[in-house]
Amino acid sequence: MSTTGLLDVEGLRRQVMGDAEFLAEQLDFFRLYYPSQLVQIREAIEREDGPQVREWAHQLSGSLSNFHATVSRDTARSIENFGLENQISQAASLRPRLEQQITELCEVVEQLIADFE
Amino acid sequence: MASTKTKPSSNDLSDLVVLVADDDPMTRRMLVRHIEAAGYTTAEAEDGQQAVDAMHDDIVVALLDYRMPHLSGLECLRHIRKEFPDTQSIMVTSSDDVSTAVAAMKEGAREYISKPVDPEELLVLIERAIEAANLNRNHRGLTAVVSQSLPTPKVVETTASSPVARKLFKQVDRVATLDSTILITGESGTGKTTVARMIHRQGPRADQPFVAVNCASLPRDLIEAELFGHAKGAFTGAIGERPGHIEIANGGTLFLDEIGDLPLELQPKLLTFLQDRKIRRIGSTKEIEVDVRLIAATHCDLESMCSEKRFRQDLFYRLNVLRLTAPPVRERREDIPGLVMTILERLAERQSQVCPKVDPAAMDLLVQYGWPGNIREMENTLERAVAFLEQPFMTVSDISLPETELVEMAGQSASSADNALAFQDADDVKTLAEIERLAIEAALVACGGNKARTARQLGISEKSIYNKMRRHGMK
Repeated sequence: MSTTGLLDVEGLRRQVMGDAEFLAEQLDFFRLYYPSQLVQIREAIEREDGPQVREWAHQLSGSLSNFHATVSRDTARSIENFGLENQISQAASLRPRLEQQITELCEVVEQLIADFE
Repeated sequence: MASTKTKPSSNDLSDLVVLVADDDPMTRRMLVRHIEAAGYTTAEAEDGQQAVDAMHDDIVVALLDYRMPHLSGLECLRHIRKEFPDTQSIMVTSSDDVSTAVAAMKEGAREYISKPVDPEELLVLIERAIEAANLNRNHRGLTAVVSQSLPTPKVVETTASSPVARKLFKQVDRVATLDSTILITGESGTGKTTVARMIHRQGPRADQPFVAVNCASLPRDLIEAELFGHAKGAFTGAIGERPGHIEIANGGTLFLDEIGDLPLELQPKLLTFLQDRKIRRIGSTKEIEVDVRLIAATHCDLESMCSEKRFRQDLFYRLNVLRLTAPPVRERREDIPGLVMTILERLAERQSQVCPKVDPAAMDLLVQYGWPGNIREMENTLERAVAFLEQPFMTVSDISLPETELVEMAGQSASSADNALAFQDADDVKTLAEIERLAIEAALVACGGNKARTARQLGISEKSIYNKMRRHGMK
């Protein structure tokens, strides 16, 4: 595990087969998609739409899995579970934490790409 | 919208389409990237409905996310099973959700894989699924039998992607209907008996008896009575009349295993039977006509035995009408993953357990090992590994192989690498690419198959080792 505790670096290296270029592409791609996924979660929370909260949080947790980002993935999963149980306020309380974790994650991955080669 | 992309590729893999259905674009993209890098063509679907709509006959493997909008992975799986029975499905599940994996397997998913998906494991599963899809599509030509040594001998089928095995099964198809005498040669443990059973099953005598006699396992003084039978009082202990195996096989197939061990003094009697198709029980004067198809098998070099006068040449000619060779495992390494999983599935079925997965490094070891005892040794090795397995997957440390063979493996790799630079003359000089391949092979063996460590030792990046291995067609 990395010292930041945000992601499993070795797992991520294996995931991209040691290809820094691919990892950079994945990060760009993630940056393209995750803001809209977060918006969808936020809007679903505002609408108090549990199934949609669950749906979007599930999708985001899948993306985070690809980075071996266990911490933020677990937060996304918690939101997913709260959506499933229609516990919207709990889901809402976790959303800022998830955003913060993802921001930090992107920085760590960026640094990792620089260190890769 | 679902889309299909064809990656330019120089090999046949690009004809194989793998459907990637996942609602998460990043996961989809990553899966597609790894699959296309391996040379396959991909089709993509953003949800379950698109996956169903995208299905067509060329899709050999469907990679289905368990949770997708509109139609779930399970619903897609049911549709695919019904409408495209040859297509093999792999369910992609969350890492902490064992129940979904179990549900998927019960619905007929060939495999499941957890997120985050390990690319090496993914490609192994896809290869295995493609083998299974091919088996469905070319059932007769690709049928193989693994072994007889498990306590409940049962024909199991696996794919034969290696040229030698494919050739054998094509020959089996061809000779099965001819009713001629067949000689099957091959090392011990290569499945000669099961090849004989395949021939019987596919031939015109399939509904008649298949009688197997192992000439090496019968006591020397009993072989004649066992083969030809005896009359009452023919010898001490012959208290009643008894038919021999040849007679029992009447109408069907007589399989004489280890024919090279048939005592020289009995060979003329067998030869006479093959010429006249009549037998006389020991102690009887009555001739009995017997109609059997004869299949013989041996691990011996019968030609050499003939020249050494240890086997009758005239009998050899009678037996050697149609000859098939069961290849040793080391000559069909590409079949090893399929064989391993078939054996593990049988063991799991027998013990009512879930079939364990094999991690890529362990599979690499199994593929690289020489298997001097062939499939029989493989079965014993896997059965031993499964017996002591404490987790649902098999790693290198679970596999116990003879130390001497492993040392030899490492030695061979090192020696190949050494030889790469031992040029005798200009014609002997190898290309740089060949030298590089040999060096990587030797380094991988020395590093226990660990690619990251191999890369470090060779002074190249991890990415480079993957690229080089891919370029050299190494797994």
